[in-house]
Parts: sequence; C-alpha cells; structure tokens
Amino acid sequence: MNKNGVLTDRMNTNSAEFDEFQAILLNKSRQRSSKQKRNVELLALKYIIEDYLNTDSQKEKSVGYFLKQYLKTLQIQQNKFAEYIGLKPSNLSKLITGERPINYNLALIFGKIFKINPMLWIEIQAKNELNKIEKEKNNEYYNYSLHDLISDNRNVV
Amino acid sequence: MLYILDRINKKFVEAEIIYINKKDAPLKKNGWNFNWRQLANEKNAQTFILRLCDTKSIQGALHLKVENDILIMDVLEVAPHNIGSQKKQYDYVAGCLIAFACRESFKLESDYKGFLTFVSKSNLIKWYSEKYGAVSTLGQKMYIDWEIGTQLIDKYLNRKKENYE
Repeated sequence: MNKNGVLTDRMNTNSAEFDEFQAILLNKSRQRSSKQKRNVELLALKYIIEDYLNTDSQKEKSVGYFLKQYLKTLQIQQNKFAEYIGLKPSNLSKLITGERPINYNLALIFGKIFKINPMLWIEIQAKNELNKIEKEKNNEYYNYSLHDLISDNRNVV
Repeated sequence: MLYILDRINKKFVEAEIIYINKKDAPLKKNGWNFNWRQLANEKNAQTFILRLCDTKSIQGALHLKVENDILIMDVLEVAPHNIGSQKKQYDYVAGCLIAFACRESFKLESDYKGFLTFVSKSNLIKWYSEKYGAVSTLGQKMYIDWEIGTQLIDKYLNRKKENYE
C-alpha cells in the first residue's frame, strides 16, 4: 500500500500510448466469443435491473420493458420466444405492454433463461405496483402508524 | 449495502457507495490527498464515496470518467485512517470501490463494456495484479476484464454478512 491513500495515477487520454492501450482493449474485446459477449450483455442487464430496484427516483420501467430489452439485446424474436416458453404471442405482447402481470411461473422461466434471480422479476412488478397505489391513495396511508396502534386502548390487554 | 471489516473491533460493518456532488466531497484539511471538490466538478465524470451506513464517515473515494468510450478509474483514494496494511482501521475499502467500478463498466454502450481501466501507482502494479486480477499493459496502464470483474463484484459487493463471519 502507498504512503498516502492514493492508489492510482491519472490517465492521460491525449497520448499515443493511450491510443495504443485502447487498441489493445478493442482487440481483447473482439476476441470475446459469442457466448462471452452474450454473458457480458446478460450481466449488464442484470445490473441495470438491480439498480432500478435500488433507486427511488427512476422513472417507472415495467417488467415488459426489461423483458423487451433482453429480447432485443439477445436478438430473439417475440414469436419465437412465446413459442419456446409455451405462451400465446398475444399474451406475451400483453406482458410486454404491461397489460398482463408476470406470474411466479414466468418469473422462474425468465430467471432460468436469462440467468437472473427470479425474485428480481417479481420485485420489479411489486415496486411499480406499490408506487402506483401509494401515489393514487397517498393520503390514506398517512392515517396508519405504529404509535397509534400501540397507544390505542382497544389493544391494551 | 455492503460490508467492510472494522479491524479494531474485529467485526464487519455496513457500508454503502453513493454518488456525490462537490459539497459532500472529502476535504484536504481532513487529510485527503486529492482535491475531491474539484474532481466532483469535472465533466464526463462521476465521483462516489464509500461511507459507513451508521456514522456516514467516509472511508474511500472513487472518481470515474468515460473517455473515448472507455471507463477509467481515474482516481482511487482511501481515507487517511485506512492507509497501511497494519495500521488501517477498515479493510476491503479499496476492494469494494474497485468492484463497484467494475460493475459500472457493464453500463457502457461500446466495445469496451466490461473493461475497467486505470493507471496504477508504479509500486502497486503487483498488488493490483495479485489481489484484484488486473492485467498490466503498457507500463502502469492496467485493466480488469469482465470475468475477473464479475468475481470481484461477487466477492466484495454481493456477499452476505454471515459469509464473512
């Protein structure tokens, strides 16, 4: 470890050496097999979903939005995908447009195919649903509190 | 949520990595080497800190920038009290920040997705290589590829508290 806490030098990007470095990385990137490239894309999408679930301020994105991203990135036709998972194409479309919710069975299937924890698919839906209800009925929930509950005489034994 | 090791009390403590702007940056007067306020103001770059969840005290800072579609870990600094393998108060701070940077590299929309690049201090090349699997090319310029990056993410960012104990 260093005498001070700085562990890097700054990168000079305006140099011939940086150009050479970039060329080496590009070459490494192009040497990745199709399977490796696919795995990188799958990880990228997984991290995007995790970030979506862990951030409050993001614009709402549905299960269908993320599913569409997977199919687009992996270049899988919707009809082919619907057939593979045993779903009517019309029902898959409804899932993608948000007209139909995801169920546990589909979450497990998507989890297996896209190498992602099935719970994440359920969590996307749960987060969106909770946000929606909270926005619609915000005032209703202000009336509930633990303090009121435990100070209520009716609850004293 | 992640965990770093409190070496004095010999227990793992909850920490988090958050994006900051200049008003929340660590200060030179508190012993930090870099001017993080200035760094946090730079364009095409983002500054993050690793801090304890309970006291909010800063344990490390990270400056990431994207140049020519490549993610660069431009500055990595641990807090003054975390310097030195025997004297530091918290362990895993650098590992967590490097793993976080690796994770950010997957968000690039370019051929360089999954590559984290940086310039090592000359005396730390071996340390980066042995401890974090970084590859040295062109002198001090190093990179961590996606497979090693994923291992670092699992090790430093995704492990449960009980796995450490």
